Amino acid sequence: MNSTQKKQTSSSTTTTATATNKCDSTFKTFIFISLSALLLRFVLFYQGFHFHFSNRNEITTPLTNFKRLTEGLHLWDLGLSPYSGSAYHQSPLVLLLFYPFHSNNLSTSLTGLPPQVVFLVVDILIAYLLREITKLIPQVLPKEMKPLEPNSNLPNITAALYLFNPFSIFTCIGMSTIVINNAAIILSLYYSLKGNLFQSVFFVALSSYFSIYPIILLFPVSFILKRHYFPEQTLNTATRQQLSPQQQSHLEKQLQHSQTTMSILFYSRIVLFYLLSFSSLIYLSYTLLGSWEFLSKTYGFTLFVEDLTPNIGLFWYYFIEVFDHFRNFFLFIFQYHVFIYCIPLAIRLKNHPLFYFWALCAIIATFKSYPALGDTALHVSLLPLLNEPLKGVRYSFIVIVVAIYVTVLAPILWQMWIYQGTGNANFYYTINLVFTLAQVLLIVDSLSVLLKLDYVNKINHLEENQEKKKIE
Amino acid sequence: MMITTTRETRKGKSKLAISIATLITCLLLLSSFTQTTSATISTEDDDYITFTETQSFNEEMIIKPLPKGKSMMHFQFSTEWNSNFFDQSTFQHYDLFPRSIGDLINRVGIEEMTLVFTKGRWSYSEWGYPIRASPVGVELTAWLRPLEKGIDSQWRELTHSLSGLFCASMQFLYQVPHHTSSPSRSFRPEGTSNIYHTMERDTVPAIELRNQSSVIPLELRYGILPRESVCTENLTPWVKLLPCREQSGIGQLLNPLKLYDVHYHSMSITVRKICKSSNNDCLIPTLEIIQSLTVVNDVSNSIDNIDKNKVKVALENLFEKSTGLYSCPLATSSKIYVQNQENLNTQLTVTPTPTTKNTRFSIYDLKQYSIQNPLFLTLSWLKNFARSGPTPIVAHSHLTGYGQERGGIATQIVNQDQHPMNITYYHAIPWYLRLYFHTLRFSIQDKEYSDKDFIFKYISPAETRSSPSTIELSFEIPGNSVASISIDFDKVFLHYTEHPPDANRGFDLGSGVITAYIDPNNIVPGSSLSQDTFDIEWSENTYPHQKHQVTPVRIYTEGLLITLPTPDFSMLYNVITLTGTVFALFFGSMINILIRRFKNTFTGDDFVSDRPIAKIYRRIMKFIDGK
Repeated sequence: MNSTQKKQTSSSTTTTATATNKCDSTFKTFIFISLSALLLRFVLFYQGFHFHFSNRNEITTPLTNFKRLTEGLHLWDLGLSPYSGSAYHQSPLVLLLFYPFHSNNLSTSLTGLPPQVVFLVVDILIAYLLREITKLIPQVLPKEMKPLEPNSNLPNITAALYLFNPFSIFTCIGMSTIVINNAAIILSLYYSLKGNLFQSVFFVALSSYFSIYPIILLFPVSFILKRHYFPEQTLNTATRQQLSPQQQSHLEKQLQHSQTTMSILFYSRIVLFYLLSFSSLIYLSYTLLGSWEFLSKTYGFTLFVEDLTPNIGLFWYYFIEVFDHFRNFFLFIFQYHVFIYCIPLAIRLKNHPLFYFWALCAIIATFKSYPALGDTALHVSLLPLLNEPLKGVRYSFIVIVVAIYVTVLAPILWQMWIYQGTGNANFYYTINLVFTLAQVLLIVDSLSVLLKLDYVNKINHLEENQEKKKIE
Repeated sequence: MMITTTRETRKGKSKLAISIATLITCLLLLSSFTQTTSATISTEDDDYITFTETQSFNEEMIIKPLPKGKSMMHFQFSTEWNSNFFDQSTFQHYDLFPRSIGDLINRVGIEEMTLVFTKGRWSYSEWGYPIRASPVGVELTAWLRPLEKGIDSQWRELTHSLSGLFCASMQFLYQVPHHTSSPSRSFRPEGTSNIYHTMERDTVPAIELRNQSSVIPLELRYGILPRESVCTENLTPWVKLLPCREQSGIGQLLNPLKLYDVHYHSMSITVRKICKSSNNDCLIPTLEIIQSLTVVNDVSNSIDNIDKNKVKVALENLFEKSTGLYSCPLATSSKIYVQNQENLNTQLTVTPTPTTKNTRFSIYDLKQYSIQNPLFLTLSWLKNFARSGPTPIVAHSHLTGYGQERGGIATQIVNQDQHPMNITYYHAIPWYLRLYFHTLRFSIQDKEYSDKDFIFKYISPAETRSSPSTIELSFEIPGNSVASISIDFDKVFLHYTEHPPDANRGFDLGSGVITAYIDPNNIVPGSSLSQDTFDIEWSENTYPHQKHQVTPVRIYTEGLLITLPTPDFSMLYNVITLTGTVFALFFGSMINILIRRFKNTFTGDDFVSDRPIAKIYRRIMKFIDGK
């Protein structure tokens, strides 16, 4: 890592003047991109598209619906528990966040601003962070991405792909509060790349506080953080030559030994920070509402799938149709299924924490209990960061076509089932199956490509070493 | 006879109380031997409560001609029981009072209870107000005195007992809790005995237990089963509670074949405690059970009709009882009232001539008729007479929206009277309609109301799979105006077992309850209101009081039918297998990738696995080959 950093600094010093110019121009491009994205969103809000989009099941779920949030705020205003009435199921802090923007028919909101502002700000924040992340990755994780050219357009492309991704536009206009969760996840990635242990762990805790599943992102985040705290220490060739082979091996053993104890300390510090921030968030919510009711109403609601409103996942129809006496068994299997991949993937992808991060995001988006397009938008917007390893993906055409097919057909089949009465629930369910299959294909395909590439690199590396030895 | 003196003397006279109790039981035994219908016991002591043990039965019937060739017949059978209800042994001897109900009162702690079975809808705008309003289906209202076993188990016992007693599915009021709620203002106890409540409608009714000198607040449980269909199997047990059954008296007319072939049929049983003594301080409550039955017949095509513009009805033909009417021998009084409606041009003629006649009723005393000389009552009136003015308060509710995803409920309450009126609106909506209370809109004549404009506003959101959402609003509606209430809801997607057997028919939604408090001073004599509302006081026996009080009139809105989105009920196995396949596909592929070892095919060497199992395998093969 040190060497690459050095390289970069040296290259940047040679072209300082042009680089600063370039940097300015790329930032100007970013400003232009974000302004045009804002304009697009503003026009859509102005045209009243949020009334349609916020009612769509593909965009909002019982956990992220803005109408339910308004109901929670209204009940809170009346002095009732916001969770009474089984409409509101989001975390108490979301309530606090939107309280300044809540207005009823009698009074305007405290800030005088409409709640749409929050969604616009959060979207721009995510885009900015994605841009910064793209710049940070080659420095921190050289195996994931080659160093960027100083005039590379990749950071801006990443941001633009997020801002103009139809899924993220739908999510923003549909006022789905999943964007707040997404922002927390992106922030945790950003801070982990920056090497800020506390901030990154805090944002993992925040995102798992909003919805339980991102707790597994603690693994990739700690892997990335480890790069900062334990840069790969190999003995310099200069010192190596001065030592005898026994001394060398002894020294390496010593180093390794100290490293294991240190890394245990490091991981326990992460876990401690996580528990501390998570429990303080929970306690803050408790003090806000004065009761522990929210635990069962948010986390219990997520885990026990009490609301069977259709969404793009597989849970709703399964739990409408499953036999009562098998319900608990399958609930356990389905929820447990999301979490089982994090350890095998951690073993296999320990050198690719960014890819690990992406894979977990994609698995959560596919197999969580109330998925929406916002979850898909998050992991899709991380894909440009992995553009190099994923050049060899085989089924990209099928995945893209299926995504378009689903986006177009889902509302039509919904209309046929719910409004026309010419279809039934199976129509919509089929679309969900297809969509899930597309995401499954994407994950499996990318993973196999990455592992193959990893193996090829390893072989090449070995061969290089052998050749070097031969030369010596 | 002051309460205070009673309390003071209680301690000293506890022995006396015991002796009185034994005296009562002795005399009760005696009375059962002598086969008298009533036993009167009174103590000579002026300081102590005088108990009069009497049981009496009254039967009455009211006939009211309605416009468009319809007629309303209201049967009312009331059994009264005067006794010492503080003594548990009272509930061991029954005479006219039905034992099954008496047992229930004692066991469950009922202070007051009303159970109504209704089929059809009363048309308030055409027919005025009914004597007892009721929603479609079954309605059960119970004021319970909390006992040791807890109010929920009392309610459970009550609903289960009643469903056994009346062959109906009242047990669902307990088992499916979203049918049951407890409104705080809409219902007040009807009795006047030792239930203490002021007319201030925000106080909780309570009873004073004098022997313990404590006041216990009563618990109200209110349940509606809108889907319950009412039929003969409910009528038969109801008739069995009558002392004369359908053998004699007015009960003779209860012919199931004719009672269900009507526009509106409402059968009710009310248990309450009233005060019969003229003394205001009611120390001796009377337990009263009122069984009433209201039917609205279309008599325009009856066989007695001769004139095209007139309706002619003979009671014996209407109910197919050719024997004629005479009194039940056990009845203290037995009367038929025909409402004259003198302010309207009904051209009502009755034959034979009534026993007595006042401005409002032509009254037949059936005690004057006998089995040898029965009454054959024939009525005739103008088919299309006009009603005098509109019904003052009418309410309707509708569903709004389309599709099976979301919708709304809108209710209109119309005041057609000149005077402003106090209205309480109550609606319990089951949890499978997820109400959004921030969309609750209330306006009178396009003027939006906010929270502070209501006299009283109470909302309670539903809990999934348990309690219903309830809305209760009290407000004053100005004269000649329309109040409209609307709220949006989402239709909840239910588990396939939660749908009723005929899922595509939909779910029935209970009626909203509107309670209008009409000030008697505002009623113009001779208006339709004076004819309708105060019909309540037609029988001096049952309603001797409340002359000058604000009378609540109850109006029920229409029962609504809601279709919820249904899953495909035949897809159970397919969904389980298909979803399972997707999960298995992902899991299998992931396992495949994660445990795969890549092989370098470019080196030319054979791949030699270094796994322990492969090593063992190679050893074994070597051993077999003998190398």
